[in-house]
Amino acid sequence: MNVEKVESLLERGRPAPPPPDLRRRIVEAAAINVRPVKGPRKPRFVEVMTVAASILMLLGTVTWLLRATPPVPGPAVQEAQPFEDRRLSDQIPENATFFTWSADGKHWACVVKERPHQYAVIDGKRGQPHDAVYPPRFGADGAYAYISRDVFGRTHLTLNGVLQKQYDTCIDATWSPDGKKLAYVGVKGGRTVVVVDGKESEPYDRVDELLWSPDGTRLAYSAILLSDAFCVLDGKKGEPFDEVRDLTFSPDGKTLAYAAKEGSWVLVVGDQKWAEQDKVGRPVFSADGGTVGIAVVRDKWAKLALGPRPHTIIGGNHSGFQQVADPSFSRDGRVWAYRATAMNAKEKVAKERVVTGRGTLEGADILYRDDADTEYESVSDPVVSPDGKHVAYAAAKGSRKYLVVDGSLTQKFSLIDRISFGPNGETLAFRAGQYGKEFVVAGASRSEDFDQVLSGPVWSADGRKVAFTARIKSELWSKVLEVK
Amino acid sequence: MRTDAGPTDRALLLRHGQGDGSAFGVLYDRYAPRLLFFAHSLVGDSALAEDLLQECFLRLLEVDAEQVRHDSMRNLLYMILRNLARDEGRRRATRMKSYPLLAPSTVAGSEAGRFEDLSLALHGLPEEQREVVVLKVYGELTFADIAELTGVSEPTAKSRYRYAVEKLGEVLGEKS
Repeated sequence: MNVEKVESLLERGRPAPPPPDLRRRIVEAAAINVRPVKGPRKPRFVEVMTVAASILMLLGTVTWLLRATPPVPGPAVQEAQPFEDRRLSDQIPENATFFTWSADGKHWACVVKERPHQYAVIDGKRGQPHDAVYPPRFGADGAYAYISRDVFGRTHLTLNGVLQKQYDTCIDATWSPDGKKLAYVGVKGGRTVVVVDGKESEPYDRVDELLWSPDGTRLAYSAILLSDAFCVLDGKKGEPFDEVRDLTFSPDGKTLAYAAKEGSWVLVVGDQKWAEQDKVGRPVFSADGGTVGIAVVRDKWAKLALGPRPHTIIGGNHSGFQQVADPSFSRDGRVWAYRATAMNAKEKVAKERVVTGRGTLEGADILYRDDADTEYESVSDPVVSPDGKHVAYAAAKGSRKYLVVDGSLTQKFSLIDRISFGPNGETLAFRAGQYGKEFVVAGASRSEDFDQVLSGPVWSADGRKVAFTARIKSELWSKVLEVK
Repeated sequence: MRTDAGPTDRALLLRHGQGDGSAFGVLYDRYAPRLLFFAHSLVGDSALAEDLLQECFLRLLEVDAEQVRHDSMRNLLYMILRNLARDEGRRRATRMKSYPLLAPSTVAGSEAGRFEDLSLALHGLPEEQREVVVLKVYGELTFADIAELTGVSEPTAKSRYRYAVEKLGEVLGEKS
């Protein structure tokens, strides 16, 4: 094809329009972040509250999740949060960002920015001034750590209020899930080491992706030494590759999976290497650890690979998709679902749909469901009920979002996201929006309207309530909804 | 890209700063689709591109609107977004990437089916060539703007564009 034809084709193409809810998100964010037209101005209280509130998306979810699912290994829960409405906003200082809570809900931290300095604030107490402060993180029993940057660009760790200066650069401070051990990467004199409880690893040229096992007993990371990349597990280097990334522990912490490149990409699961692919995504384990899935691309087509054996490439009769997202699993890994993108042959535009499958991965009994008639402008990542009986996701048609359950369109709002199944595997909860307000729907219950639902909904262990955080004008609330 | 119709970008940013609730939406509508496409083509991840677009618009609010030339807002947005994408890209350089898809600007057309191939071919270009094509064709930037934005000379920007179009022609020619 000659240059003129290519240019003509290029000019007749157009980028796909952004998702409708992105406009709302950005314009609303801009509305609460109005900068001064001239000269400095102190942020209005509502602005401060809302910026801080946005950070609470994480804290609420994490805190309530811990409350709701105690059997799952995770950060220490010393005293569960009360499952009741609670006003939170009067605790937030001005100019606060990176707001976070400890897992036991007893401590809070944020970063306060007052040009030219930034400060970490822990339980209302302001730390030393720095050029920049990164989000503080809590361990167990109120222990905390954060990384700060000085005017020379060097980064240092502050642990429980004490600035550590034994390294030129300090990054990736990561608490173990039980909050009892802290790992970080220190660089000094060209040596990069991983430090745990004051003990240094052997030196590398570079270290990335510190990852604790869910039970906090094992530490893995990727490291580069000379021209080789390794996955290091429990201090022992694995097989050398050109690149190593996306380390993932199985839920029981016994198996480590990661993507590795040696010419082509392979997925390494424990001591097994899967078939070579052109590209691979991030490995995902089912809750029981028995199944692992990963999006792969081979010969330009994207598909899903499942294992651990015989790491079947799942595609049914379909040759593949333009894109495939990370899969979701039922608890036993026998039901899976994923978001796929394909060109619609009739409309000549990219469409998304959810593909589901079920089986034991022995090959013959895999039931594969890919209904091309149920494609939409976009779909959310699907959620599979723990027992594998149901699959739910949000599908966009124009400016409306539909809740799709087992292939059927049910409720319709302008916003649907954060979908989750309750402990009974039947009842759904999600955040919804309509007419400029947001609310939570759980089963047949619907919360009151809020300006924003910031985090959640998260289920209680008995499935009778969901909790979430919400903003009403300048007030921030932790709210609870009874599920009918 | 239209900036000659309606209020100028600078006027919109000033009006936003003065509390005009609708001004920012106009700015968004004016630039978001092309910026999002640019971001997605750089980072290879649609969700990340959306986050970067949001951050890009919020960074714009840090700018003193009085000091912005009336014709430079577009370039400024591309510069902010490019820097954000490059910072993020360094951290995620090895992740599997997706690519933004093009659609025909008119619904009907005998060549409409070729846009999938075009999207794929565009994705297959070297990053520096793809960037120039996206900025030139979909960002409607001049070669001088692109040269300034990407830190190369104008002739280099032009030659990257030419190489890219020739490469696209080769790839698409093989498919036709």
